[in-house]
Amino acid sequence: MLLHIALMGNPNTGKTTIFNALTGMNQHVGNWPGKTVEKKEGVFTHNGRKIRLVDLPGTYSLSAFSPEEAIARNYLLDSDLEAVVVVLDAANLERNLFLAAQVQELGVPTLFVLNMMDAAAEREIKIDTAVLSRHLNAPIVTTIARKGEGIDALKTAVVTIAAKKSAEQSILPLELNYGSEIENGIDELCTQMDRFPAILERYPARWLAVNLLEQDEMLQQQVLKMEGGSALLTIVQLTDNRLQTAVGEDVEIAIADNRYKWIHKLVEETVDRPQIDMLTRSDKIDRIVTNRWAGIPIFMLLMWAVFKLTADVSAPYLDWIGGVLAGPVTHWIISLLTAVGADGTWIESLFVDGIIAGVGGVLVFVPVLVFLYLALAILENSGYMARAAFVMDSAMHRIGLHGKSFLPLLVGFGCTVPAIYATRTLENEKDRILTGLLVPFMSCGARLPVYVLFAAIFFPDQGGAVVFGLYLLGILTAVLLALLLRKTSYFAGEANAFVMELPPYRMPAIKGLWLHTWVRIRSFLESAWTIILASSIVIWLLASVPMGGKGTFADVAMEDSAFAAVSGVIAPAFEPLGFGSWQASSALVSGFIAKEVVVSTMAQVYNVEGDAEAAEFPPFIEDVTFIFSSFAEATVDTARAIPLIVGIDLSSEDDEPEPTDLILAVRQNFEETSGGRGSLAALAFMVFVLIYTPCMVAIAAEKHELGVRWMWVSVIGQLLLAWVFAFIVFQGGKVLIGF
Amino acid sequence: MLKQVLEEIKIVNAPVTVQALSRRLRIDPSALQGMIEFWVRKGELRDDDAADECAPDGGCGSSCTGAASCSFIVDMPRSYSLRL
Repeated sequence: MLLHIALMGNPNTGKTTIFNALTGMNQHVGNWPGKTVEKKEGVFTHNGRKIRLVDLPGTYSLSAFSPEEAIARNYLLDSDLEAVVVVLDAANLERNLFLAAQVQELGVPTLFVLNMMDAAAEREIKIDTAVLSRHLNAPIVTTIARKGEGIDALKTAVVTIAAKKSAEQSILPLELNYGSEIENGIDELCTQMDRFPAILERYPARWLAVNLLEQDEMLQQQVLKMEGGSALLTIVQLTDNRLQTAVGEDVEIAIADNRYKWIHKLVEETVDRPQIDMLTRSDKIDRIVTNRWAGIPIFMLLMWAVFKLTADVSAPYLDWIGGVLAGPVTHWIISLLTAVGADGTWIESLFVDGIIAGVGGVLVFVPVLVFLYLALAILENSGYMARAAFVMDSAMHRIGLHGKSFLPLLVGFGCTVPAIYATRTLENEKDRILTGLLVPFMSCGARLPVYVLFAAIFFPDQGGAVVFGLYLLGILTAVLLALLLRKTSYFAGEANAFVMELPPYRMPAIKGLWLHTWVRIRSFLESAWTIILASSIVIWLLASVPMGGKGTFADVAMEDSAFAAVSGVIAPAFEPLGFGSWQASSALVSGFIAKEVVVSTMAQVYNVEGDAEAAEFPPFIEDVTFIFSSFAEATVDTARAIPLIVGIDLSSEDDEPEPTDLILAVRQNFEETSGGRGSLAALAFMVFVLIYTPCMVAIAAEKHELGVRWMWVSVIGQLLLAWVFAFIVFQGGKVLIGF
Repeated sequence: MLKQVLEEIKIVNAPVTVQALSRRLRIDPSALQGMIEFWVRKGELRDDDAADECAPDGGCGSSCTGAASCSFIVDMPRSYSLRL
């Protein structure tokens, strides 16, 4: 005879390991009928008895609130089972006992498996299995399934309990005491149920009464379809109303509360464990990093290290990619065009002045983003970022923002678009709108190339500090704006509390770090091949159209092009900010499309004829050798730059790279438009880039999430703020350093 | 016990970790997790991660197909807010 056994338990209790250990290779995997939930079955033989084992989905209860719970409960009710094996995590027994109690209330012959006994021992948890077994009214087997320990004893116990059922020995269901009033109500309902034999044929009376009083909707629907179901539900409703008055609260809550109390008492009686308030190593670290006063400075210090790493250490790779694009890549493209007879034509101009200058100008900054996303991935995967979110949540709460607002703001450091969508985690509409308005002030990854370029040109020795300062300015702007807006009648209100589950600290795995970094870089590269490529071509087209009768198509000086003429119209608006040139204006206008385009536009408008026009290119093999040798040099230079994070400079003056034509052209242009205060104008320019609209897609996201009215408030507000902030930086700076 | 959990969250009226709440109420963190989810089902607390899946109007983000699936989303711990 084939004995039929079901295996169930909470998720992550080692249930699958036990299933595999019991059934070995004799498994069949499919789906539960009509569901996408996986169903596994297996067969094993022990002591001459053949067992069919069905692995039920992992569930925390039998309340049928999820498809998994419904499958598990219906299977226990409808299948002709010999027994059910319930796997319990010995290290987290209290939560697991909720399901255990519910299964026992159903009255199915049960065998409990206390798995992960090693994890419990590690946490100094000792369980009195004899007393626990007595209270649960079922046998208990202990295992360490991942080591195969206790599996033979489990097989024997399974066969024993299955044989007990097949021998028709009665199993008494567990009867928890839910308090006198509720118990009276349950008794009354059980008496009334005698009138509905069809229903009692499927459900045990007491179990049905308890679950209907718990307002189990799925069960109500099932009962309703049965003969007499409607009448029974009316009786239950009347009893529930009466009980609610008697116990003074929701009967469902009272029942669940009593079940938790019973479990808690059982655990106190059977489990010897360290005090709940005893601190683990993770708790001890948290006491420091989530400390009310130390938490924020620690977060700031770590973020400063991240930006220092990003700005200083990645620099050699920037030079390497720049060299490869300006050298071998350009050589090969021109050679190819020469071979097809397109050299010296507009096609060559499109590739060299449009695509390579535009897209290449942005690709150069990929190493910066690699270092940024890698550093952020380390903080995320180690578990620290969750603490940072918690620390900043507390700070947010103190300034009147919802604590959850920090999560979208944090996402904003990567990209504004998902950050705006992440405001959905806020329930209150006003909190959501307020956070959505603040998100664009978090400096996204696409703005970083602009900062790095300008920091390299104007602040070569304080690059990391400048970049960090800009990120900080974005945060402070958001905080100040939040405080201001919370004072308005529209946004005034209390932020609500929340509970956060902090994961344990862990050593980040290399694979996980790479995956996190790569998916974000890939997203950036995808935008390079779509938005930036398209923008570069449009800008090249405008820059190729001559104005004022000077030059011909694709053979015109940039300052005589249509692009310069159009950009020149708005340039006067930026004169008080120190960067009133058509070149700077054009970069800011194209930056509306995406912030990556700011740098690509600059690379195009400041493009100075270089080696590409040289008639003789080095041989192919020499270009290939250059790519690898310069990569090796960049790696060595990067290793030497790491101590820069703590202020140790290992590079010699000979290592300083020669300024490129782009650097010289930008520096000269900003010096000219600012009356010799190029650094101040550059700082104002970076502040403008930080504050004004992030990109077109972000505007679309704002429209989608906040509505048209708030989208316009955001776009216009950011433009005005950007102008005012840049004005203060430039004009204020002039006052400070003296005219 | 259940009501005590909800009341404590209301009393704290600030972000609190499950671990801290567990120590405060002297309830095992794993059991506390179950109690929090009970209140989510009862509608007193809100599972913020579940809210992340879809917009309030039921639609999902156009360009990012829902914030949760976006590569820029920082992997954050599960959190539960008090319903207003």
